[in-house]
Amino acid sequence: LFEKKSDTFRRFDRAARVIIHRAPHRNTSPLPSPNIPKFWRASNRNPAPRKMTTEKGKKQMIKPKAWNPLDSVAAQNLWKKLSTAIDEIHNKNASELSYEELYRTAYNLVLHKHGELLYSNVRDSLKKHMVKLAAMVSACPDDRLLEAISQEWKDHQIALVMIRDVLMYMDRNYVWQHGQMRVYDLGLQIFKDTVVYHEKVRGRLRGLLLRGVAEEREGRLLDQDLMRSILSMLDMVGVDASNVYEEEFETPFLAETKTFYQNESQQFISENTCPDYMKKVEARLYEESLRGAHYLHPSTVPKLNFILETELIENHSKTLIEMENSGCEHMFKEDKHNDLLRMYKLFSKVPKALEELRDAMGEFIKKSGKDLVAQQEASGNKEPNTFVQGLLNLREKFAVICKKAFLGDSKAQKKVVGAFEEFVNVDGRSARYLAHFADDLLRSGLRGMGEEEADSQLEKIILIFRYLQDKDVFENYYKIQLSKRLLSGRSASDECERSMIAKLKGECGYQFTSKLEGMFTDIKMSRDAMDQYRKAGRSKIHGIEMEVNVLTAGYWPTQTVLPCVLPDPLGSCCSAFEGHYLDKHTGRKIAWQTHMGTADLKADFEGRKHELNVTTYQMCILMLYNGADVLSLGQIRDAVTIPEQELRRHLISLCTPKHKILKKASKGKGISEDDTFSFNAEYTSKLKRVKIPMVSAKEGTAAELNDGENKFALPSNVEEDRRHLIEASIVRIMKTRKLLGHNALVAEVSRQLSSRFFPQPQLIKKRIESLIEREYLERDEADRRSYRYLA
Amino acid sequence: MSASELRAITGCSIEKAKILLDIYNGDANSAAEAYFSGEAIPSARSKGRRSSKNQPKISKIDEWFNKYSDEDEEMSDKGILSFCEDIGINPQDPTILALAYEMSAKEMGLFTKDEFRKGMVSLGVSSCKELREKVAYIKGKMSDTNSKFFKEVYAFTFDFAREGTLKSLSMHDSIELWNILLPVSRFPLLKPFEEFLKKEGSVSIVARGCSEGRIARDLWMQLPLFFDHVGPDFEKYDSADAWPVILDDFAAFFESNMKREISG
Repeated sequence: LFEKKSDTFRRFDRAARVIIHRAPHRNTSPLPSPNIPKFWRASNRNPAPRKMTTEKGKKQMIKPKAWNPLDSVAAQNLWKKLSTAIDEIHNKNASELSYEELYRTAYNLVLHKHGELLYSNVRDSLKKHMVKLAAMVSACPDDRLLEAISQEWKDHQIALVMIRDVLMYMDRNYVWQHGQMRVYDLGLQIFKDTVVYHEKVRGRLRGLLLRGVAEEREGRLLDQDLMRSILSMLDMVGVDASNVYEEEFETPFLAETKTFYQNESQQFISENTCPDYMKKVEARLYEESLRGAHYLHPSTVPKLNFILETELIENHSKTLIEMENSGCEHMFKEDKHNDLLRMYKLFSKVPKALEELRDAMGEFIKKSGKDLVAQQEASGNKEPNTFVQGLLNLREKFAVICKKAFLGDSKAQKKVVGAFEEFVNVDGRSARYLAHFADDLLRSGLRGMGEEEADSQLEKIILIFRYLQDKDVFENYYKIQLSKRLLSGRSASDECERSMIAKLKGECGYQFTSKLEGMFTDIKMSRDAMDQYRKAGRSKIHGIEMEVNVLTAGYWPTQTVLPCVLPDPLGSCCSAFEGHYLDKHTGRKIAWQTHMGTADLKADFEGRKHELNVTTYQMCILMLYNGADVLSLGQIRDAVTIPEQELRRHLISLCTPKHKILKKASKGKGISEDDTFSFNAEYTSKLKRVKIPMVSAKEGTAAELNDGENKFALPSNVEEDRRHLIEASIVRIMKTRKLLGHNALVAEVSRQLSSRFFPQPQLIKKRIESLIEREYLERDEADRRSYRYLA
Repeated sequence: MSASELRAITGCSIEKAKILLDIYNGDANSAAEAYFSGEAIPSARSKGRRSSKNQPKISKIDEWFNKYSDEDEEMSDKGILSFCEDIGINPQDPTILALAYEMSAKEMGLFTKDEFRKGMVSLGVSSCKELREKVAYIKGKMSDTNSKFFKEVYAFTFDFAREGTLKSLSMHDSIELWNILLPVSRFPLLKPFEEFLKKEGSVSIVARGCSEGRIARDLWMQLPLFFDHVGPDFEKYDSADAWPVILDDFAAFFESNMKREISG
């Protein structure tokens, strides 16, 4: 009963330890206590039966004669002696008694079969004494009662130890043989029944204990030693397997605790803000933990904690999280790291509440994300960089919260990722804007930054990139912008470009970036090729210097646009280069991408000469004015064969008020079908060299961005790529597996492609069907859900 | 005449020659004729039938065929119509497809003499009267849509109705053939499916990147299985199953229509 309460319960003083010592006595042979004289022990323990016949044996023969007459009368006499001694012990006069004598008396009584007499007399004597004690204790007024009990309890314990020692032989023989309760336990039991359960004590005792705790909770001082002593008493008197401690104290205590905190937390939460409530709870938890350490039985502590956690945290977690103006939303918004940390620590005690907290964070992120999107839309989608910056800020904010407030909780981090992924992947917006953001950085944003700073900027892009499901959409836009940067030489630094690509490669692997890297190689090769061309002395023909970029088809986001008609001298420049290049690289084909180039034109205006930097298309248009002053739209169209939309776009940029190279006959922004354009000889500019901006190009992108509902739909070339990738993946898988079930195939394809994008099962199914139609696959005859590879 | 002689004439394997001679009771001329008419692989079934019955005479079949054939020795639309009339079937009856299957006919609306011969020999009939008696039997076999025979005819019909090198059927033809082959009583979903095809089908198919409004073989083959599997009210439908995508679209269409009907 007591051993289980060993170490941690050390505070339960001497008595407990004495009892623990006693434990071995139960089953071992008689082993006298240490203060019994030696000779006594020896003669008793080893009767040495063999020596009975020797001289010493004679002496022993006499003794039984002397003892024999120990009839009931003699026994009564002996008992009287003991009885007086026990009374003396109770009266604290034990020092005048001879332990040895008393022990022998008890020993003799037991030896001569008067054990029962002894036992029942001892019981009666203890009872008698306890009744006296109880009368005295019960007469105490409330404010003295606890102390009185505690004092009597201590005395009683001491007395019991002595009585026990005296009656040790009885304990070991009579008690053991007759299955009675040992004297010490008997004393405890009688104490319990007579004193603790005294009708005038029991109820008051319980009430006083509970009141003591309640008052302490109110802030009043409490004699904690007294509490501890009484509670340990309740625990110890439960020797006969009755749960005195539990019944008299623990159960009502826990019930009171529950009601107390139910009420208090209700009141707290209605009166306080969320952080204040948590501070109070923290204080209460601390107080209660002290209570546990100071006077509660250790077994009560977990039960108490459970009640505290349920009443103070679990039952209010939702209210706390959702509390207006001070709940989680507020804390997230205002970066209240300390409050969040407090909340995290408190909620960690209740797994359910912690999960609610994480959920609240996820919801907040999603909501913030939606707000970002809404803001972006409200601004007319004009500021993609603000959107991305918003994303980055949000991410950074929660990275810090996870680290500081949630102590790097991995589940919380997962929640953050999940929440971001959810709103980032709603449409193609994020991928597109992120590419745009990257473009701005790589164009100019990184200029003047140190290597490390630039690197950390690029790393941020990767952080968002990781959330993207449709990485191929990002790649598509990134590629378009990279090509513009490379071809116009507008990249801030080659190193940054390469570092960005390396990062993407690290995320998605070699295949993802092979085309991007190919673009770099092309530019480098082109430079070398041009150097050679120049060295060959053929780069200048008819006074025109031509610079060519040779782009590998497939790497670049090129459209197949038929070349426009180049004005005469240029055509021969092109064929000269073509001849030169194809000489070196036999078997290649050159397709001129006239819609991507630029040209510098020297133009004579009335005032002065200007150098105009225009697109190749515009150059073609302007060159027409060498032979005419006024041209109609139809004439221009026929002469240059530029695709209609592009033609209008380029023409209108030549007619802007700021750079009015051509004069448009009609008014307004549009071009009517029968419009005519004349050369504006009065054009002047402060600069000698003028770059004609593609006004409509900007409008064009804006229009593209606002392109109705589908503005963030999948770009068609990405869709096309996906079809090929899925088919290739299906064929690859089927080639090795030969026969595979539908679901397994879909799962495997999804897995293989997941690093690039997330293919919809329907899309995969469509590709399977297409492959069946083209007889790469067939359905298995026996199982229509399985496909067979047709070699 | 020995098997090796027959082999020399026809160039078929010695085993086949033996079987043929066996069937035609050693009559090498008939055997050779049968071989060239395409009836070169007699199955156990037809062999059994022949041994119990009188062999249909090729000459008699030819005579019969000539009643319907035109100058090109082919039975075309007109001939087929009167052929149908004579044997007492509606040209819209699945039986005619079963007959075409027996003939291994290559092209719709046209039976060649060889095809006709092969079909009649395989059916073991040589006159209009005999075939009339057989029609009920064929109808019976066709009405059991789970039978192997029906499935073979159904599969055959796709190739039969295919035009030239095209790998798919037009939607119009498909719907007509389905109406002939698939009894509505057993495939109550056929009507809603047709409605779906007419309303959204072409859109749906085009959107799927297939050739415009055409029915691929896979869809053709899967359709009766699909109807059978999901049950009349799509109870067992599972969008993750391996059905052609258009059938998933149909399921969505059906469901939304049902909802509309219920709410409307």
